[in-house]
Amino acid sequence: MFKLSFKQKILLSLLKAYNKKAMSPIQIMKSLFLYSQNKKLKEFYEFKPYLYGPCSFEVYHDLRILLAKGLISAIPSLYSWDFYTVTSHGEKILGKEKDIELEGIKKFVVSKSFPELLKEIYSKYPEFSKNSIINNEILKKL
Amino acid sequence: MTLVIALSCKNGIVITSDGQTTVGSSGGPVRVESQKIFKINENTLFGASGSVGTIQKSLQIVSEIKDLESDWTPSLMNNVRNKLFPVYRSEVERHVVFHRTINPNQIPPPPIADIILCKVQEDGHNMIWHIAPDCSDELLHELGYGCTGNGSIFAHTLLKGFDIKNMTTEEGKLLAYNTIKLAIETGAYGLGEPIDIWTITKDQEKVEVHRLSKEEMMALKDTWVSWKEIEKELFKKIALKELEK
Repeated sequence: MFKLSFKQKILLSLLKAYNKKAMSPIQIMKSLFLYSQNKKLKEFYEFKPYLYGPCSFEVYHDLRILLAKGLISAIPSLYSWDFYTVTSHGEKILGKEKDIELEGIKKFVVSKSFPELLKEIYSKYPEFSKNSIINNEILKKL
Repeated sequence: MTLVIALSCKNGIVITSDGQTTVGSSGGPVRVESQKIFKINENTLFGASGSVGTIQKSLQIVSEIKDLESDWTPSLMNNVRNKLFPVYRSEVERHVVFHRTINPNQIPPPPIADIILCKVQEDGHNMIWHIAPDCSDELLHELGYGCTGNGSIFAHTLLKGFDIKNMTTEEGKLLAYNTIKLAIETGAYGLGEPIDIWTITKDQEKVEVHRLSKEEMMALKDTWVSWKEIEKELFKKIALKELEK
């Protein structure tokens, strides 16, 4: 049987939180980033300043694994982000436990538009916006 | 059906292709996924459009020229063209002889290869070298980019106006992705996913060739969507300002 790593478990729990609302990779990435900053975790995804702010390629790797194992599903799109949600199999593996912190973060992240979310993250963590293709000046105008 | 583009950025080269090929079968042409960019050595990449068989022969010939790893000189480049030319000529001659016996008034286009070779020289200078099917050639890095394939018109259109030479390879990857993606979505002649992206960069003393992983490609796609989303938002603001006037 497939054994989830700690990081994969948090990722899966995030997708299960807040009524299993489907999330874009940007929302997932920002949520996990906020989670790591709040919890000050040492053994977690390593985020680096990427073209759209904080990003960890390992999150993409784990999304592919969870998809292949049937624990999450993706709604693919040609012109937008793919959206991910937990499957019933994924829910079953997680059990009934709830992470209150993840619930709060997800609720906050999905309530924001994409520019609003970037503004929030970039203003609070400017060091992670240094390689962004969308600079703060443009965001202020939106 | 192909589009290969190479961008000459300030810290290296980004070379990108679509991932679909049309090959012959006894039942008619079929579409298959295929790789169109190949590593020749530790600092050189090969990309091509044209007939699969002729590309394979070209790749084999070019791969066997070990001197291509050293800085390119006019005599080395001439040597490469001289090795390719007999193969191309023989392909065309065989093709014409064969089809003339069937219908001399209607000879289909011959199986050709149109090549782009990319390299970062020892001094960090980018080289984008285009070798045409008649083995005439041109250096395109001064232009900022080179391209080959029947989707080339998209590259010329979508890359116009960008200051590629002053971009980083990170920015170049995004521009290259945008170009190939839009060409695939628009072109009605067999361009297709998956998009393949490679880079040649010089970091301090070392030249490095890198092919983007699946994860890096996923991240790049998400960046591309982010770019498009922000473009839409900015456009709304422009439209609103016009209304306010």
